[in-house]
Amino acid sequence: MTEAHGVVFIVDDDAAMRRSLSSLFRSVGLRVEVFASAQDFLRCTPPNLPGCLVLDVRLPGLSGLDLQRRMAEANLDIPIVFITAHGDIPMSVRAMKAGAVEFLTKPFRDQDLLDATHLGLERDREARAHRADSQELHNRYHSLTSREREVMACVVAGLLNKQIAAELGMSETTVKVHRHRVMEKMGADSLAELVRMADRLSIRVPKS
Amino acid sequence: MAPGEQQGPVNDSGELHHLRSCISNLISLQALPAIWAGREASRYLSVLLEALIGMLHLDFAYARAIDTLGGRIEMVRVPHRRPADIDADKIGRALEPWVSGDDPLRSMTVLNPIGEGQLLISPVRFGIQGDTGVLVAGSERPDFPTAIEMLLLRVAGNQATIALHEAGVAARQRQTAQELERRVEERTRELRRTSEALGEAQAELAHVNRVTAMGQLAASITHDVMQPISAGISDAYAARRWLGAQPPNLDEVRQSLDSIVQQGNRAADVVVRIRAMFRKAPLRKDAVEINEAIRAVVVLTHGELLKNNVAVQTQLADDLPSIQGDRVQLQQVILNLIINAVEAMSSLREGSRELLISTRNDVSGLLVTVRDSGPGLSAESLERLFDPFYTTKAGGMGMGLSICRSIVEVHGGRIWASRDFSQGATFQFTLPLPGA
Repeated sequence: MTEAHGVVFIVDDDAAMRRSLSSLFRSVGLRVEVFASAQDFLRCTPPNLPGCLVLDVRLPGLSGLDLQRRMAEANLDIPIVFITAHGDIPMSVRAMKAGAVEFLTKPFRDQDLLDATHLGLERDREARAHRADSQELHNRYHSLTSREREVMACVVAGLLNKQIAAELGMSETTVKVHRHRVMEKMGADSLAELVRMADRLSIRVPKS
Repeated sequence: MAPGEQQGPVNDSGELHHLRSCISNLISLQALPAIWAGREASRYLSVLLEALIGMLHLDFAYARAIDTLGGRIEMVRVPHRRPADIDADKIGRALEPWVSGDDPLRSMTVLNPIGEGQLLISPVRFGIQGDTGVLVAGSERPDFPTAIEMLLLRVAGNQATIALHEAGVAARQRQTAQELERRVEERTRELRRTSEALGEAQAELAHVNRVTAMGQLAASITHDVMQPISAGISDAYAARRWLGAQPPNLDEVRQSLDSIVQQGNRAADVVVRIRAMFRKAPLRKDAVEINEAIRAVVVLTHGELLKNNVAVQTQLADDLPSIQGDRVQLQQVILNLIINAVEAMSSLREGSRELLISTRNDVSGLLVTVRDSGPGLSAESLERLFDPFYTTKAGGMGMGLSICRSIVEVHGGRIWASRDFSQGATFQFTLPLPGA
């Protein structure tokens, strides 16, 4: 296993707990970063890798649940596995509703913690891929000229070249040229793919 | 008397007699309101009419009035020689034309409302504005009313005004007093209810406080003990994985094992600290009079016992030596045993609820016994009763008796429970005597 698997952030005020959790994650080949408080974690710059936060609920200063809320407010989207020595049901419901991956009560089975952490890492990996995809798509769309964007909107709306020409006040030949450039720049192999891209970009179809 | 005015000799013995009786009548009339002060208006008017009949030799005397509380009074009196089958209402109606309206009233001859022929009447209005009532004197005597008789009638009217006014004041006072009394009673009832509710709330609060404090303590202990145990368990899991790695990472295994030893010791330390905390408490060593300490607790629980309908009896031996210990903690033991007994007995629907607290000098020291008439103890609970977290009560923490045992043992004594074959439970503890 390599670092590409991701990094586990451990936030626990108990040094022994940090040590043992760190050892456990390292034993399965995960990179680990440990923090004694929520504030310490917020100060760090996370590496650009899929991550999962293993977070103690009871912490001095900001509690684990406070940190979860802060992260949501700051759009810091790292999956969280909560661990606690005395969790109650309302607390776990609150954490899970706010998007936690898992809520484990100490002492927990190693496999439960590892499974939850892997699930968190997998979620972050997918989210990162999704974010990267849509960033790429946006980049491509931004490379279109405004004329090409207009043509693209008409194409995905299902207009024929002749209709587009009339709509935009240009010759059919010019439409064909723009249309070709759109397909090329967007990297779309078919009209169907272009329509899907338009959907992800939320391009509005002009009323004809 | 103006100077120069001639004074006529009063030599006529009849005239003198007349004057005397007139003065005596006036005095009598003046005295009437005072005699009847504060009584009902009707009673006063009745007496006044009787008096007028006697003084003026009337054939009838009639009065009607509105008393201050808005009631209508109407009555007629006739001399005793007359038949008494006359009705005030009927006479009132017959006299109506002569006494109603706003015109000044005057004496006149009318049809006799109580007999044959005609008679003279003399009506007088009374009341501060003449609106309280009217008094009518009737006589068959042709010279009725004389000037003196008119004077007496007017005085009678004035006295009636005063009397009725006073009667009204008195009636209003009575009414106010009654209203006040009613409100005081109501308020007292309300206060009693509030006070009861307050008492219940206090008891509830005390209970909640106790439970909350125990809950917080338990949560804190749980966290402090759970933390090293969890770390140790995680270390053990990690060690197992390091061992299973290819090749096994023995250095990591060693580190994990070291950590496990540390965390095990850390958990043990927490437990030792908790025990020490409980043990450290009774540092106070005062001279404690156990009987006096018990009495104070009984006084303290008086309300609780009363509320639960528990009859408490104490049989405290005289001449018990004082013992060395912590008075407050020993009282806590007694309080706990009493509260337990009350709670046990409150589950009984019938049967008497009796609590007996006794002390005596025993071979093993002072012996304190708390016996109740509750449902008693099962053989199983008898064994585990003093264990921490063992409880037979819904919502009980299972700490009370465990703490009692700690306190008694710290004082060098012993505590135990036994079952009565008849009914109820008996808790006893001993406290060693100084020098024993």
